[in-house]
Amino acid sequence: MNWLRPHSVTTEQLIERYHQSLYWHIRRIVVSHDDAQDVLQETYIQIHTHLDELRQADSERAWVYRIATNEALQWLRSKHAFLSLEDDDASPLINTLMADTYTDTGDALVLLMQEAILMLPTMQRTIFNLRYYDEMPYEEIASVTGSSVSSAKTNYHYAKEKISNYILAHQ
Amino acid sequence: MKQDIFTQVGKRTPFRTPEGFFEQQEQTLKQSIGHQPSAVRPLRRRWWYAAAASVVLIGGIYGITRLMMLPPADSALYPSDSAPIYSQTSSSSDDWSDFADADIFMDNMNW
Repeated sequence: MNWLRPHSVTTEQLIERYHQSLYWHIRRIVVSHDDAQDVLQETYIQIHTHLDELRQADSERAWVYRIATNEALQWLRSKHAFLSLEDDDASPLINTLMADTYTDTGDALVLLMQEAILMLPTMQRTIFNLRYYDEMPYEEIASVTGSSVSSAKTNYHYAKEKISNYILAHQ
Repeated sequence: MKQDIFTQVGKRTPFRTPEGFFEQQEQTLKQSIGHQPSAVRPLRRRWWYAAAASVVLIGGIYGITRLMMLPPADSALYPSDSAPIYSQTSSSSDDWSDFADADIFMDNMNW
Protein backbone atom coordinates (compact mmCIF):
# COMPACT_ATOMS: atom_id res chain seq x y z
CA MET A 1 0.00 0.00 0.00
CA ASN A 2 3.02 2.30 -0.44
CA TRP A 3 1.29 4.05 -3.33
CA LEU A 4 -1.25 5.46 -0.87
CA ARG A 5 1.46 7.11 1.20
CA PRO A 6 1.20 10.91 1.09
CA HIS A 7 3.72 12.30 -1.35
CA SER A 8 4.41 15.87 -0.48
CA VAL A 9 8.18 16.12 -0.95
CA THR A 10 9.44 18.21 -3.84
CA THR A 11 12.74 18.06 -5.70
CA GLU A 12 13.65 21.43 -4.21
CA GLN A 13 13.26 19.98 -0.71
CA LEU A 14 15.41 16.99 -1.66
CA ILE A 15 18.06 19.39 -2.96
CA GLU A 16 18.04 21.23 0.37
CA ARG A 17 18.20 17.99 2.36
CA TYR A 18 20.78 16.01 0.43
CA HIS A 19 22.76 18.09 -2.05
CA GLN A 20 25.82 18.39 0.21
CA SER A 21 25.95 14.78 1.37
CA LEU A 22 25.20 13.54 -2.16
CA TYR A 23 27.95 15.73 -3.57
CA TRP A 24 30.49 14.17 -1.15
CA HIS A 25 29.19 10.67 -1.86
CA ILE A 26 29.56 11.22 -5.60
CA ARG A 27 32.92 12.95 -5.19
CA ARG A 28 34.29 9.97 -3.28
CA ILE A 29 33.31 7.76 -6.22
CA VAL A 30 34.31 9.90 -9.20
CA VAL A 31 37.08 11.85 -7.39
CA SER A 32 37.18 14.96 -9.61
CA HIS A 33 35.30 18.04 -8.41
CA ASP A 34 34.07 19.00 -11.88
CA ASP A 35 32.86 15.47 -12.59
CA ALA A 36 31.12 15.31 -9.21
CA GLN A 37 29.27 18.53 -10.06
CA ASP A 38 28.07 17.11 -13.39
CA VAL A 39 27.04 13.79 -11.86
CA LEU A 40 25.22 15.58 -9.03
CA GLN A 41 23.24 17.64 -11.53
CA GLU A 42 22.38 14.52 -13.53
CA THR A 43 21.37 12.80 -10.28
CA TYR A 44 18.89 15.56 -9.44
CA ILE A 45 17.46 15.49 -12.95
CA GLN A 46 16.85 11.75 -12.47
CA ILE A 47 15.35 12.36 -9.02
CA HIS A 48 13.07 15.04 -10.45
CA THR A 49 11.99 12.85 -13.36
CA HIS A 50 11.26 9.81 -11.19
CA LEU A 51 10.01 11.55 -8.06
CA ASP A 52 6.74 9.69 -8.36
CA GLU A 53 8.60 6.43 -7.58
CA LEU A 54 9.80 7.76 -4.23
CA ARG A 55 6.46 6.77 -2.68
CA GLN A 56 7.28 3.11 -3.30
CA ALA A 57 10.67 3.39 -1.61
CA ASP A 58 11.16 2.28 1.98
CA SER A 59 13.68 4.99 2.74
CA GLU A 60 13.93 8.43 1.15
CA ARG A 61 17.68 8.64 1.80
CA ALA A 62 18.34 5.17 0.37
CA TRP A 63 16.33 6.09 -2.71
CA VAL A 64 18.23 9.31 -3.47
CA TYR A 65 21.58 7.65 -2.67
CA ARG A 66 20.75 4.74 -4.97
CA ILE A 67 20.14 7.15 -7.85
CA ALA A 68 23.35 9.06 -7.06
CA THR A 69 25.35 5.83 -6.81
CA ASN A 70 23.97 4.54 -10.10
CA GLU A 71 24.74 7.82 -11.84
CA ALA A 72 28.28 7.94 -10.43
CA LEU A 73 29.05 4.31 -11.28
CA GLN A 74 27.57 4.74 -14.75
CA TRP A 75 29.77 7.78 -15.23
CA LEU A 76 32.81 5.81 -14.05
CA ARG A 77 32.01 2.95 -16.42
CA SER A 78 31.68 5.32 -19.37
CA LYS A 79 34.96 7.02 -18.45
CA HIS A 80 36.75 3.70 -18.07
CA ALA A 81 35.27 2.50 -21.37
CA PHE A 82 36.58 5.69 -22.98
CA LEU A 83 40.04 5.01 -21.53
CA SER A 84 39.73 1.28 -22.42
CA LEU A 85 40.39 0.27 -18.83
CA GLU A 86 38.88 -2.34 -16.54
CA ASP A 87 36.15 -1.19 -14.16
CA ASP A 88 38.28 -1.71 -11.06
CA ASP A 89 41.51 -0.21 -12.35
CA ALA A 90 42.26 2.48 -9.78
CA SER A 91 45.17 4.16 -11.54
CA PRO A 92 43.17 6.81 -13.44
CA LEU A 93 41.30 7.67 -10.23
CA ILE A 94 44.54 8.03 -8.26
CA ASN A 95 45.91 10.18 -11.08
CA THR A 96 42.75 12.30 -10.97
CA LEU A 97 43.07 12.62 -7.19
CA MET A 98 46.61 13.91 -7.50
CA ALA A 99 45.88 16.20 -10.44
CA ASP A 100 42.59 17.74 -9.30
CA THR A 101 42.68 21.43 -8.39
CA TYR A 102 40.51 20.76 -5.37
CA THR A 103 42.63 18.04 -3.79
CA ASP A 104 44.46 18.96 -0.62
CA THR A 105 47.82 17.24 -0.74
CA GLY A 106 48.96 18.74 2.56
CA ASP A 107 48.32 15.73 4.79
CA ALA A 108 50.20 12.64 3.59
CA LEU A 109 48.31 10.17 5.77
CA VAL A 110 44.90 11.47 4.66
CA LEU A 111 46.03 11.28 1.06
CA LEU A 112 47.38 7.77 1.55
CA MET A 113 44.15 6.59 3.10
CA GLN A 114 42.18 7.99 0.15
CA GLU A 115 44.57 6.26 -2.20
CA ALA A 116 43.99 3.00 -0.33
CA ILE A 117 40.23 3.49 -0.63
CA LEU A 118 40.58 4.10 -4.37
CA MET A 119 42.45 0.80 -4.69
CA LEU A 120 39.35 -1.11 -3.55
CA PRO A 121 37.01 -2.72 -6.09
CA THR A 122 34.28 -0.24 -7.03
CA MET A 123 31.39 -1.86 -5.16
CA GLN A 124 33.49 -2.53 -2.05
CA ARG A 125 34.64 1.08 -2.12
CA THR A 126 31.06 2.32 -2.41
CA ILE A 127 29.99 0.16 0.55
CA PHE A 128 32.97 1.32 2.61
CA ASN A 129 32.23 4.99 1.87
CA LEU A 130 28.55 4.66 2.74
CA ARG A 131 29.35 2.99 6.07
CA TYR A 132 32.46 4.89 7.08
CA TYR A 133 31.66 8.43 5.94
CA ASP A 134 27.85 8.50 5.80
CA GLU A 135 27.41 6.13 8.77
CA MET A 136 24.61 4.39 6.95
CA PRO A 137 23.05 1.27 8.52
CA TYR A 138 23.84 -1.97 6.67
CA GLU A 139 20.17 -2.41 5.73
CA GLU A 140 20.20 0.96 3.96
CA ILE A 141 23.56 0.23 2.32
CA ALA A 142 22.10 -3.01 0.99
CA SER A 143 19.16 -1.06 -0.41
CA VAL A 144 21.45 1.53 -2.04
CA THR A 145 23.83 -0.97 -3.60
CA GLY A 146 21.31 -3.69 -4.38
CA SER A 147 23.21 -6.23 -2.31
CA SER A 148 22.33 -8.26 0.78
CA VAL A 149 22.95 -7.05 4.32
CA SER A 150 25.46 -9.83 4.96
CA SER A 151 27.30 -8.98 1.74
CA ALA A 152 27.48 -5.32 2.80
CA LYS A 153 28.89 -6.31 6.19
CA THR A 154 31.46 -8.66 4.66
CA ASN A 155 32.54 -6.10 2.08
CA TYR A 156 32.96 -3.42 4.73
CA HIS A 157 35.05 -5.73 6.88
CA TYR A 158 37.33 -6.69 3.97
CA ALA A 159 37.60 -3.05 2.84
CA LYS A 160 38.84 -1.98 6.28
CA GLU A 161 41.40 -4.78 6.27
CA LYS A 162 42.67 -3.86 2.83
CA ILE A 163 42.91 -0.15 3.65
CA SER A 164 44.83 -0.83 6.85
CA ASN A 165 47.22 -3.19 5.11
CA TYR A 166 47.78 -0.73 2.25
CA ILE A 167 48.56 2.11 4.60
CA LEU A 168 50.90 -0.01 6.69
CA ALA A 169 52.70 -1.16 3.56
CA HIS A 170 53.08 2.36 2.12
CA GLN A 171 53.76 4.44 5.22
CA MET B 1 47.52 -0.52 15.16
CA LYS B 2 45.07 -1.08 12.33
CA GLN B 3 42.33 0.58 14.35
CA ASP B 4 44.67 3.49 15.08
CA ILE B 5 44.86 4.43 11.41
CA PHE B 6 41.13 4.99 11.24
CA THR B 7 41.17 6.82 14.55
CA GLN B 8 44.09 8.93 13.42
CA VAL B 9 42.63 9.95 10.06
CA GLY B 10 38.99 9.91 11.09
CA LYS B 11 36.69 11.23 8.38
CA ARG B 12 39.18 13.65 6.92
CA THR B 13 39.57 13.47 3.15
CA PRO B 14 41.80 15.38 0.73
CA PHE B 15 38.72 16.54 -1.21
CA ARG B 16 38.05 20.28 -1.21
CA THR B 17 35.54 22.56 -2.89
CA PRO B 18 35.72 26.19 -4.03
CA GLU B 19 34.63 28.87 -1.56
CA GLY B 20 30.84 29.22 -1.34
CA PHE B 21 30.41 26.22 -3.60
CA PHE B 22 27.42 24.63 -1.86
CA GLU B 23 25.34 27.82 -1.70
CA GLN B 24 25.90 28.40 -5.40
CA GLN B 25 25.36 24.72 -6.22
CA GLU B 26 22.00 24.67 -4.45
CA GLN B 27 20.77 27.62 -6.54
CA THR B 28 22.14 26.12 -9.76
CA LEU B 29 20.44 22.80 -9.07
CA LYS B 30 17.10 24.44 -8.31
CA GLN B 31 17.31 26.52 -11.50
CA SER B 32 18.23 23.52 -13.65
CA ILE B 33 15.38 21.47 -12.17
CA GLY B 34 12.96 24.30 -12.96
CA HIS B 35 13.55 23.71 -16.68
CA GLN B 36 13.06 19.96 -16.51
CA PRO B 37 9.72 18.23 -17.13
CA SER B 38 8.60 16.14 -14.19
CA ALA B 39 6.63 12.93 -14.07
CA VAL B 40 5.31 13.98 -10.69
CA ARG B 41 1.64 13.44 -10.12
CA PRO B 42 0.90 14.69 -6.62
CA LEU B 43 -1.43 12.52 -4.58
CA ARG B 44 -3.68 15.54 -4.00
CA ARG B 45 -4.37 15.74 -7.73
CA ARG B 46 -4.97 12.00 -7.84
CA TRP B 47 -7.64 12.39 -5.17
CA TRP B 48 -9.31 15.01 -7.36
CA TYR B 49 -9.31 12.58 -10.25
CA ALA B 50 -10.73 9.84 -8.03
CA ALA B 51 -13.44 12.18 -6.67
CA ALA B 52 -14.43 13.34 -10.17
CA ALA B 53 -14.56 9.74 -11.41
CA SER B 54 -16.72 8.75 -8.41
CA VAL B 55 -19.21 11.58 -9.10
CA VAL B 56 -19.50 10.54 -12.75
CA LEU B 57 -19.94 6.88 -11.76
CA ILE B 58 -22.57 7.57 -9.09
CA GLY B 59 -24.41 9.91 -11.48
CA GLY B 60 -24.36 7.25 -14.18
CA ILE B 61 -25.70 4.55 -11.85
CA TYR B 62 -28.41 6.90 -10.56
CA GLY B 63 -29.47 7.82 -14.09
CA ILE B 64 -29.65 4.20 -15.23
CA THR B 65 -31.63 3.23 -12.11
CA ARG B 66 -34.10 6.06 -12.71
CA LEU B 67 -34.60 4.99 -16.29
CA MET B 68 -35.23 1.41 -15.22
CA MET B 69 -37.82 2.53 -12.67
CA LEU B 70 -39.94 4.39 -15.23
CA PRO B 71 -43.23 2.65 -16.25
CA PRO B 72 -43.01 0.80 -19.54
CA ALA B 73 -43.96 2.86 -22.53
CA ASP B 74 -47.67 2.51 -23.59
CA SER B 75 -47.81 1.22 -27.10
CA ALA B 76 -51.05 3.12 -27.82
CA LEU B 77 -49.68 6.43 -26.60
CA TYR B 78 -46.17 5.93 -27.83
CA PRO B 79 -46.43 3.76 -30.91
CA SER B 80 -43.17 2.19 -31.63
CA ASP B 81 -43.74 1.83 -35.34
CA SER B 82 -45.96 3.39 -37.91
CA ALA B 83 -48.13 0.39 -38.72
CA PRO B 84 -50.77 0.87 -35.98
CA ILE B 85 -51.16 4.53 -36.94
CA TYR B 86 -51.94 3.65 -40.53
CA SER B 87 -54.23 0.91 -39.39
CA GLN B 88 -56.14 3.29 -37.17
CA THR B 89 -56.50 5.98 -39.80
CA SER B 90 -57.47 3.56 -42.49
CA SER B 91 -59.88 1.21 -40.76
CA SER B 92 -61.54 3.39 -38.19
CA SER B 93 -61.46 6.74 -39.90
CA ASP B 94 -65.10 6.38 -40.94
CA ASP B 95 -66.28 5.73 -37.40
CA TRP B 96 -64.36 8.72 -36.23
CA SER B 97 -65.88 11.01 -38.83
CA ASP B 98 -69.40 9.74 -37.99
CA PHE B 99 -68.83 10.52 -34.39
CA ALA B 100 -67.38 13.89 -35.22
CA ASP B 101 -70.32 14.79 -37.36
CA ALA B 102 -72.68 13.81 -34.62
CA ASP B 103 -70.66 15.61 -32.02
CA ILE B 104 -70.27 18.89 -33.85
CA PHE B 105 -73.61 19.39 -35.49
CA MET B 106 -75.61 17.44 -33.01
CA ASP B 107 -78.27 16.89 -35.59
CA ASN B 108 -79.03 13.42 -34.44
CA MET B 109 -78.93 14.10 -30.79
CA ASN B 110 -82.08 13.86 -28.81
CA TRP B 111 -82.11 16.52 -26.11
